[in-house]
Amino acid sequence: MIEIKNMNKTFHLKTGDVRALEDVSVSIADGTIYGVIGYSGAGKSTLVRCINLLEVPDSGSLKIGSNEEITMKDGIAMQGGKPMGEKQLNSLRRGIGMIFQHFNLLDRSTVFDNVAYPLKFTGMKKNQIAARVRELLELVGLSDKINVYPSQLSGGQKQRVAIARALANNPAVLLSDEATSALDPEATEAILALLKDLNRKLGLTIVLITHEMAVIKSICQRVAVMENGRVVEEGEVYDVFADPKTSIAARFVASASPLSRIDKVLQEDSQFTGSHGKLVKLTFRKDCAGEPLITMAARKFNINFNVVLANVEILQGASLGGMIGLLEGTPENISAAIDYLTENHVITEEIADGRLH
Amino acid sequence: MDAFIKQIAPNLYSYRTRFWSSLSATGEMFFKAGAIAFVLGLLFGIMLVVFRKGGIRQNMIIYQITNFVINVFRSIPFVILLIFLIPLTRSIVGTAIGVKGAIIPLVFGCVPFYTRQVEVALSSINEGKIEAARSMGSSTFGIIFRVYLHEAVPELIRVTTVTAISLIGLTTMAGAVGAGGIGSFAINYGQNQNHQDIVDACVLILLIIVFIMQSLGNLLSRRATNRGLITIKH
Ligand SMILES: Nc1ncnc2c1ncn2[C@@H]1O[C@H](COP(=O)(O)OP(=O)(O)OP(=O)(O)O)[C@@H](O)[C@H]1O
Ligand SMILES: [Mg+2]
Repeated sequence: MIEIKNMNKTFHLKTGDVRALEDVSVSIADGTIYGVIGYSGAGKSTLVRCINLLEVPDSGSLKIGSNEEITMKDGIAMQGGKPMGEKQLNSLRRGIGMIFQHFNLLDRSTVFDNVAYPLKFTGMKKNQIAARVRELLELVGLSDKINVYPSQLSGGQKQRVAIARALANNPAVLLSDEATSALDPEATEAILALLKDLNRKLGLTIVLITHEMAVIKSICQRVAVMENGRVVEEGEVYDVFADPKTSIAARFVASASPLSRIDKVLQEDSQFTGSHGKLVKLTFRKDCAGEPLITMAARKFNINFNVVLANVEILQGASLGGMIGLLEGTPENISAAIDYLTENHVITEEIADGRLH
Repeated sequence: MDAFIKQIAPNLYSYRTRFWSSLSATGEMFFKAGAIAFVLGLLFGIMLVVFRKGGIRQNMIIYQITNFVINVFRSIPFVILLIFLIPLTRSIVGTAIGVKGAIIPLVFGCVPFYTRQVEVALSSINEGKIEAARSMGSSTFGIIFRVYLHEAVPELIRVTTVTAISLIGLTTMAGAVGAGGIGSFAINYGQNQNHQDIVDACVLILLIIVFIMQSLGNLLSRRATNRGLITIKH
């Protein structure tokens, strides 16, 4: 469990103060893949850097696993009532792996030496280090590149080396700061699959920063949405996708949903914005899939349901259906049909101004 | 060979033993001052990078003092520095003339320049690599040796070459004010006695030395960089 409580961090710049974290509290359960999403400057990197104390928050507290809680006082990390020294900070960091957008490998070291870096000076013998490096490279599927220099690797392969290096000391937690943002879609998918695999195999807790909702959708269980240094929305990925509460979360969801094409459809085709009926977006959660609710509503209230766009996706192994349709009928019947659908747990949303959100 | 030199450079030939001893005096000044400057320059360069704002061990007081001292000595022209340091040199090594007396001013002349060069070389290391090392729990010394110095080797070779060449220049200048070596040989036996062949020979030998240094530096720096093209067996 990673427990972050009431964290604040302000950067004092010549041009003014930047509140990078504002009263952020997050708990991350062991073994989850936890996503953090937000636009540039939202404070995502600052948040994860505060987890391994590369950045020390001004105030707040941090508890990682069974370690004693760390409290921040005036920008100093205190553990057990005493300021943490360099040694304590370094030992905390050795228990938390981190990977980066630009890999940050040592260019003048081979893959072997890069992965061996965190193992040296830990009291391990040379042959033990060599064995561990081989094991790690096998884990990330790069055994054949052991003696190669980073400049000879593709982006995806570099990130694999970085992952092997980050896992060298068997950390329970891996922090990933935009680790796939510099990769092409194929390599992105492969790296995400690897992270998921490591999460399952090793029970690794992963905190994953991204600005792409597709990444969250593909591997995260929970997500925190950040804006201006605050966590504005937090929850199961499925729930956030099904029913985003804030407009920023809705924007991220729309960015990864085929239903957002409705904006385009509406622009190009004015028939839907006419006064014949009402354009609605329906979301079918896992608890209402399977029943012919639309057919039943249409019969019961004597309306037509004209499907404009429809989509089903599988999130965390559960289906989430989405549909945009034009309801035609008398205004009373239409609103009765909408009420009926809402009663049956369908999330309904009117697209009044011709925009999804 | 002997006869040939005797013919084209008769004065050089008659002073040949002095020529060789001057050359070895220059070598001695170069290597002694160079070795000290190398260590101090690296040390101060590392200090500037480690203690600067945002450095791995930010300490503005140490940074400002080091920075100030380096700046002061960098702005004093070397000839003035030579004279200025005479009392200090005398009190440390007992004399301010000859090879022995030249080493301290050479170190003072060379270190500020080299420190700046080292600082630039180390600053060229991507911050991300430092960040990654910090995230792995690497100690300050670990980061200095295994990231900064290790990754900057090609750059460090390059700036060391540049500094070494400028140090050759400084030794000849020191020679002009009584330190001996090839510089004073060129003045006392060439210029003052109107022996152009001696001056020419001094120019030639300096050109050769600089050329060799530059080529060696380029070669080593390139070999240190070009890691993508070689594979090493473990
Ligand atoms: N070391 C620093 N010094 C000064 N300001 C900083 C520092 N680190 C972050 N900031 C500021 O804090 C705010 C949050 O930055 P942060 O890097 O956490 O954002 P982010 O969400 O990771 O953005 P991005 O997606 O661009 O990486 C920004 O306004 C940034 O300029
Ligand atoms: Mg960031």
